[in-house]
Amino acid sequence: VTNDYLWDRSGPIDPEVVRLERLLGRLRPASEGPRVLAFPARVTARRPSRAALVAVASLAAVIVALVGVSWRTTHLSPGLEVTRIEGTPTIASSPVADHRELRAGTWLETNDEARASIDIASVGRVEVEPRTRIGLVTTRPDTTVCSCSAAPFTR
Amino acid sequence: MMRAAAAPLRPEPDSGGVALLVERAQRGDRAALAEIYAVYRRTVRGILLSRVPRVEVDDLVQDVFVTAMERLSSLRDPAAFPAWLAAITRNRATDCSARLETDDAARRDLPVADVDRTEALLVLAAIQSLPEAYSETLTLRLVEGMTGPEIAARTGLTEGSVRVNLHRGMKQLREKLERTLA
Repeated sequence: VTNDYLWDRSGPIDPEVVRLERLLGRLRPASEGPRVLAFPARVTARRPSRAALVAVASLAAVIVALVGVSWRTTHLSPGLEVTRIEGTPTIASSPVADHRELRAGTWLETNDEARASIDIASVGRVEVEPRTRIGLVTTRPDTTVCSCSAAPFTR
Repeated sequence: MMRAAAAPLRPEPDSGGVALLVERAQRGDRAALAEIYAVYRRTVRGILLSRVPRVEVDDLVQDVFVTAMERLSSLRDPAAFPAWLAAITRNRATDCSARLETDDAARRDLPVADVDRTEALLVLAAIQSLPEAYSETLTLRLVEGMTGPEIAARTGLTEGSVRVNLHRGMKQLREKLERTLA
């Protein structure tokens, strides 16, 4: 205890510091924010609540999926193979007819009706449910990094 | 008056604990990687927020950790990880700032909610205008809710430096805010 509120919140309260803590604390994400996750076998987007949509829109919160993938093949694909399951999923806002490649820096998005799958080397196939947005950050020999979030709900 | 509530921070490993955690991560232990992310995520976010527009922060947090994980094997002193990660974060923020200076499109894409002049954003802008050493420690203290000792442990700075930065930064911030109100 140092009797110094600014330093370690000990001692007499500094009203201005407390006011700023409360004011600026609102800029912290409402949730714990992105988490490092093992890439799930199946990615499913729940219908987001209105509060969740606000959080998604205002904070651009994304869930980060970090996966270490052992590439046993000698040739590396520059992207991931996406297959349309139903509806009209899009990559970089262009419809996916049947198959298409998801390249680093682009996003796969599904609306209310669309579903798709992504093939990721030794991980297998990831099914992407409606209202989901997945971006391929990068692929490297031993790592695939994707960002995933619930897409804004549209009626 | 009640004290401001701050979200609990993930416990900071002591210096030996940091080294062990990083050594595990260097051997490819994914649980250790996840623990590193959980412990240092707010520090990285705070450092970025003190230097770049808020809308850029989430993506940059990812970039910083991806970069750190890629380079982790090259870190010779695992106990130096906090300072090493903070340096990577500052470099990414510098790169981003340089890009934004020449990329008007990035500014045009800002969501409306992020350009609203709320009081919090005005104060944040005032903090961001302070010298970097002050803005970084004040952001970690006032936005991320960390204490001085926690900031020192997570950035590799000495407690003395953090204390000086906090007090000098707060003094300058008060003056800026008073001028703004006047």
